[in-house]
Amino acid sequence: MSVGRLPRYVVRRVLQFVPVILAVLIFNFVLIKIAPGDPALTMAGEWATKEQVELVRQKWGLDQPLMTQLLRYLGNLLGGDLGFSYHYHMPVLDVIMLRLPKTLLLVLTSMIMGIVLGTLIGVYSASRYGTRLDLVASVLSLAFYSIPVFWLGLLLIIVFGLNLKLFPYTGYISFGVKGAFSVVVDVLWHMVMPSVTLMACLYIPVFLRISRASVVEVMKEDYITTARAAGLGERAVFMRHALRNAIVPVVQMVGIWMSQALTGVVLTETVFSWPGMGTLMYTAIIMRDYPLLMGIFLITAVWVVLTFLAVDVATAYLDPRVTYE
Amino acid sequence: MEDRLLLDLQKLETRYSVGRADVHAVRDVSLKVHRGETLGLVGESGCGKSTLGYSILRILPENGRIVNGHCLMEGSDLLSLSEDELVNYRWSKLSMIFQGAMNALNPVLRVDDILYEILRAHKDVSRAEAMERIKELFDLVGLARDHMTSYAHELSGGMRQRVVIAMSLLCNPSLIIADEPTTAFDVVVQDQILAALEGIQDKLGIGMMLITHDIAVIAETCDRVAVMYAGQIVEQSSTEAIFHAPAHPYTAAMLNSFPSVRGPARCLVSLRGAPPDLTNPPLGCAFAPRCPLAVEQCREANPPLEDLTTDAQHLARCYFAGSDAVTEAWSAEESQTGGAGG
Amino acid sequence: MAAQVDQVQSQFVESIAPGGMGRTRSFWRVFAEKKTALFGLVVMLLAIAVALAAPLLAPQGPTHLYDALLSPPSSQHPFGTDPLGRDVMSGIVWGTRISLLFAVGVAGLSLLIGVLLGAIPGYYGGRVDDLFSRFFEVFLMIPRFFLIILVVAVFGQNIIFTAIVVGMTSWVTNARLTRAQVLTIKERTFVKASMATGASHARVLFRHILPNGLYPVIANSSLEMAGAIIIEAALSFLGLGDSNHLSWGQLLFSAQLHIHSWWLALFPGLAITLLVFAFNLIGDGISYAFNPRLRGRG
Repeated sequence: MSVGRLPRYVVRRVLQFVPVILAVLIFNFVLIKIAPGDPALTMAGEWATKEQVELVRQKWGLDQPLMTQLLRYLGNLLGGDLGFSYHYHMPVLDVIMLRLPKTLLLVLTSMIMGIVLGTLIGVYSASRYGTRLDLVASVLSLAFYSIPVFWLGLLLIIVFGLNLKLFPYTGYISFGVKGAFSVVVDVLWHMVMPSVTLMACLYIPVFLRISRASVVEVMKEDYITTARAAGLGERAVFMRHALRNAIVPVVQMVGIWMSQALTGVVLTETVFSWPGMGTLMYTAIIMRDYPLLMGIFLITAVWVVLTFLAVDVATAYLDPRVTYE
Repeated sequence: MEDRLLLDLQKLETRYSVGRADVHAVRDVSLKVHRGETLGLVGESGCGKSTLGYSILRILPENGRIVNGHCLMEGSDLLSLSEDELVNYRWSKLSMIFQGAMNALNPVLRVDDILYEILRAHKDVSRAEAMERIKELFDLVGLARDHMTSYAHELSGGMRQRVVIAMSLLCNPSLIIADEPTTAFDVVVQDQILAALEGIQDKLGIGMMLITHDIAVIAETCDRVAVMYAGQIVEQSSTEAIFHAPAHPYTAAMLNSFPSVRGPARCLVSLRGAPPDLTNPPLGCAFAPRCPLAVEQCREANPPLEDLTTDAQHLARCYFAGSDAVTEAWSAEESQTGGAGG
Repeated sequence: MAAQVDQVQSQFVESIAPGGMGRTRSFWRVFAEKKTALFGLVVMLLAIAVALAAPLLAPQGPTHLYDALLSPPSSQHPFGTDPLGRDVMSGIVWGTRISLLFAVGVAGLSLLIGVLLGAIPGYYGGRVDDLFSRFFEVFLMIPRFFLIILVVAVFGQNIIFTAIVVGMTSWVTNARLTRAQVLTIKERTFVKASMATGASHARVLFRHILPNGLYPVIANSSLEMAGAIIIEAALSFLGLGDSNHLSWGQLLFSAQLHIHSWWLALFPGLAITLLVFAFNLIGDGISYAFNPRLRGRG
């Protein structure tokens, strides 16, 4: 009955998101254009003459009216051209494509491990609700969540990187490593510290708390009492009835954090000099590399929309009450 | 009569721990339910009737515990069985219809899946066999078969309640405890639900304990009635006897507080005060503070449940039980407060 | 005449409305039950005390340059000094002011905007609600941290400006909470009663609905204060802080450059963690006290 509604729901949501992306695009375009400072000047460099600045301005079409620039930009987008980065002297798309996979690698790995660990502990904690273990888990996770990510990163670098020299703490790969297997191992080795930092401060605490709270709420529902009264064993009640309902808020939380995957980890990337989207974004801002900034903004917005959509679909699938909005 | 005895509850005592105190929700309750009869358990909110139901099925919340008592069914004491042994009784011999079916059904599962799972937990049936059984039950309670594949939120309140009734019948129990099955609904739906309940009784000859605060429902469906107040049974007899000759002042008050559609206009009784605080149950009669007949003896010692007939057909917990003083107690009250209406 | 009608209206509604002194007392009682929330409260009060007493605790000010450059913790300088000779402890003491003010500013702004923008769709419902909800959704999709960094980097690294920007990007949760509360409370009898007596929309909203529905927003504000402190520290860490105000984040910024001087990183970070933890615990405590369903064992 509900299966037929799912595709229609998906289509509906996709259509709703298209104007959103457009709005985000126009918004970021306008924002960047009203920023103080002359982009032509920035690009041409401090030592440029007035003529050189004018040349640059004409070359990049910066003297055209706003609307024309916007339309030209949108037109290029459809052709897959996101513009040209002032700072890197490469097409924006290429720059982003160099950095994007590295961020995704770090974030997705950390997030998946964090979600799994956090949820397992959270659910277990909820099943032992009110005991010492449960309380300790709850307080500890809040404590870790309160630790600034970059501070923990710094501390870990000081302890494990500098003093104990256990793990590398800069970049994602060491110089001169060759061969597929060695490269993989090397990258993984580099990933240990930033990953642990992210998991300890963010993903594990967040998912521990949300899964625990969700399970606790669900266990108090009437249909749990009914299921017990009807003679279903405690295990069946917990697995089939409680968890199935408790998973929905957790999925939504996954969506929220996943949507921030691209630019939300700028701090961790900075501390560990991980060459990802975060550090790219930071550089672009400092260097006033507007085309690059717009490209990052666009890709980020698309990513956010995709994750929101995925979460919506997942929620609709898990909770039959949803398709009726 | 004894061979038709289904459930023999003796001296049940249940308490809840709230903070540092204990609430004595059920104090010394003894009841019997026979095959094919409907026993009504009536009382105001908070008198302990739902707790009674939950105690028998042993599904009290975490802070509740059974302190004393035996509940004999088919030779075993339900209150002393282990959880594993209890599984054989729950639902297959003894089931429950829950109050306010709004939330009794898991929102993410389809109704037929919910029922199928419960059936499978007790009997090894194939899906086809289970669906047949569910169809049977749906017909019995008056639900259209298309609704089998619905989710709980797709059904109206009355329909959900009937699903819960069907659920309680899945394993052919001998006894059903119905906890306020009609309370959340308007009179039209109430009628449908009561009709469904009566239907199953007629066809299946099940014993039923109907818990409610609505005396009209009692009058319509029950063979025998037990009146509960402050955790105790204060009167127990056949429905007719209770309505025509109540032996306890509380019962009399309850009957008098419902206007009669046909009878002469009269002043309604409204009880002053409130039920006692059960964290500190009174030594004397719990109803004494609100009773016009109360004397010193009532406040000092809790009256025992007295047998007004010879074969335990009519019991009442009052020193004045059975006397005319009981039924006239409230008319005296009425004339005291004056004719406030007319 | 209008004033008298007003008075009668409010008296009538108060008599059937919930709340008042009794609820506040019981709120504190439940809040105090949770030891962790009390701990958070104590730490917060301690922080306020330190901030107020800064001139007494570190009379030289945070930027006073001592002779000991980059020296580890000693009896003279319990938390050590930075490369310029500034005492880290003084920095932390004075930095408490910045952290607290920043947190309050952000949370306050977020609360103001959020409650207003949430009350409107909650109260009017229908098309207005659809419109606002869609707007909230879109706003949530904007990458928040990116936007903050962008605006601060491009438009100026001023701490007040930063606080405003952060506040203006974090109001959505408050708006949603308020909306949900207003939607539910609107249906309660005492609200309908006040509407029936002819009270204006504004009066019903501000006098009756909101005072009863603000608890989740207050709990959330505590969490937002925690978040604000971290954001300020993060921005400073990235070099986007306000160099005129030596905040805890600024201390961490310089710590990166002198990574072998562990005391530069340890103490400011501890201060941040502690205060953030306190606000988180308080927020938790408030939602615990407010939501009976989360309480107890049954």
